[in-house]
Amino acid sequence: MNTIQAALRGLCEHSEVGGAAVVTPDGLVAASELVEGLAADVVAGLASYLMVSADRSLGEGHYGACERLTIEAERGKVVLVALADSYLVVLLNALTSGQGPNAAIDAVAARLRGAARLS
Amino acid sequence: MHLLQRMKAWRELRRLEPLAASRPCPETFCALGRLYLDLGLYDKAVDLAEAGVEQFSRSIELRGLLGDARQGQLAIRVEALRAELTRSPNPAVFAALADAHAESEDFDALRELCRGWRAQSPDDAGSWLALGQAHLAIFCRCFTANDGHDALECLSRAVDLAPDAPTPRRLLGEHLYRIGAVSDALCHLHVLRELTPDDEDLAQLLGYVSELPRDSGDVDALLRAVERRGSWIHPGSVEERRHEACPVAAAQACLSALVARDGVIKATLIRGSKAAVSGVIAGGRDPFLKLVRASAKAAHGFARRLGMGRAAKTTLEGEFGRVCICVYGDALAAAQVRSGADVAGVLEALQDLVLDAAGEEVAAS
Repeated sequence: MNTIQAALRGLCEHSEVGGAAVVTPDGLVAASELVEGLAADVVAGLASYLMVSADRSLGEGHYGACERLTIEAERGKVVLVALADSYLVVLLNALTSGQGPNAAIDAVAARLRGAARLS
Repeated sequence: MHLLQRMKAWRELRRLEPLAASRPCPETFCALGRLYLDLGLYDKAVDLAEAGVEQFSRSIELRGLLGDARQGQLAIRVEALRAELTRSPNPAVFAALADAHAESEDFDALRELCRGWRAQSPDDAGSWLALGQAHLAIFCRCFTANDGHDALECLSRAVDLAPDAPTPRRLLGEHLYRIGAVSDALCHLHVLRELTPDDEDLAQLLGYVSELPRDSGDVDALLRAVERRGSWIHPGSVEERRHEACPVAAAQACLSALVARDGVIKATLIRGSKAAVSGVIAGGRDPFLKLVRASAKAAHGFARRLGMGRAAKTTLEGEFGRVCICVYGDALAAAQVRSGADVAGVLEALQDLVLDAAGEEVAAS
């Protein structure tokens, strides 16, 4: 098991995390730990499109890049974190409240950034 | 939902029901309510959502759940009424089914039903009234002249078929004066006054409409003017007249209060093409407004495609701080805050803004 996969698996052990993936800006899956019923390539395509369009909108207003995007929806939450040249996508269950597993997500993001630098 | 999924859902239900009782919070209520919806237990979902909204009245997630649960109940009612209509097609069942279609905003089904209703009872004003009300509901939302024209035509036919029925005539009179056709409206309201002499509301309305400036009488031109303007020429109810006297005042005051908070740079409330803004913002062309609209739309699409329902709150973070967006119905509120600001508090304030805006027009500022 490589570093990325191990980091994602560790994150998914958190009770509020329903799945996680690392995706590239062009919508490819680098690694994923998703529940049955969620296709990794679909999540990757949607997540990369979302982050790229957020970056484009922010760029037009000269705001700078989006480092993190959080969506709270009716049936769950999603956190997308920009890594060096990829995105960490974390799906949280609907019962997550407040900050939830943010510290765990930050730790994994930092670990993945480190892993990217080493490789 | 196949058998395995249902079994899993029931197991989750057994876990969530005691949790909702022991730890009542919007998240638990929503998770349990959505599970009820998945299992088709709409009555239970409505009861739970109503209890949740009573306890957490400002939660947009719970209001969304309540709306979806009521739609589920409505779908069951529609099926039952359809079956009854097949057994005994009578005006009462037609009217009840038309109401249900209108409530669920299924206007295609309503049109189809009214066609059948007219074929069955050509002299019944009910089908024209139902169709007129539907066109009126659409017109109230987007103010397109065609819908306004269709509403007038349907209501006029209902009045022709049932000249002594107060409902179609009142709707027609109100629609006419609100688009500015005051003279035509007065004709109907005077007839209505004779039909219902004890109606105090009508007496007040008649007094109000009598004082409005008279029009040219060209209804089509008036409808086009309403379409260009994007709102009624004259406000409706007393409550609405009070709101329209100061359309952005309430939202503007809330936005100003929000911007006065520590770390909040700018804030906006957007509804359709109109926006109220406050803080460091360069009017209607500020890229912040475009950013908010685009991000809300992209987040909504993302959540829908992943089967997560509507995206109620979205937060973007970067060197610029945070952009918090809150959506409810067709209203969206957003604020840019500095890093370290109270994001939860800002999101709560944005939630209040969109909830208030849901029933209130927002004018450009």
